[in-house]
Amino acid sequence: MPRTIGGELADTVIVMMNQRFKHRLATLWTASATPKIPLDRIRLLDLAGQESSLKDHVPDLSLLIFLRHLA
Amino acid sequence: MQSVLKEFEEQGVSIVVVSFAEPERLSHYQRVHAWPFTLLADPQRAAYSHFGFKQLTWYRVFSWATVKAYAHLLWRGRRIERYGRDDYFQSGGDLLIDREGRLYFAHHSRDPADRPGVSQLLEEVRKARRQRRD
Repeated sequence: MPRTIGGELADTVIVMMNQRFKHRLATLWTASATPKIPLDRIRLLDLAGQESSLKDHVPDLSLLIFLRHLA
Repeated sequence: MQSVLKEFEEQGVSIVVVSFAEPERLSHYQRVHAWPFTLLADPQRAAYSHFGFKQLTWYRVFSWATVKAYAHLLWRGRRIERYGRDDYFQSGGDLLIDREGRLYFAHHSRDPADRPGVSQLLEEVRKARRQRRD
């Protein structure tokens, strides 16, 4: 039976949706697999010696730089 | 430095620096350098241990890469600064993390000269932001 344009278009949409679904599934898996660290349990001191949790100092995405010795 | 900071700010990333020095020494260090970051002290090295920053071996600390790096700094006019007794074998590194504790990038320095460059860090930030959007 000859293929119609409508049939071809429908197939294309289905393939695209399937690919998007697979990509979304992979992304969700990656996000859920990213390790979570309990920042509220990591206690640090500020320059005045006051203790607080690391979470208090991480407002959103943060770059934590761990120094070696002071230089 | 300011342009680098601006790039991180534009990406919505804050910078937090952690040191194992005691708060008094770190405070003195900050008075000298006036870094525009949050500085936190971890003298018990609990965070260092938690994130896997261990002690480096002697040959890693005094590697040829380290000698070259310090020679380059001295050649550029940097002075050797001392802030009291220090542990030269403690490793450091860089992490990209969010408030929920999701770790997007971790670099554990293999020797004192081993640090990711700014462009690599910014690329990791962009990757993390894309991952968070999805």
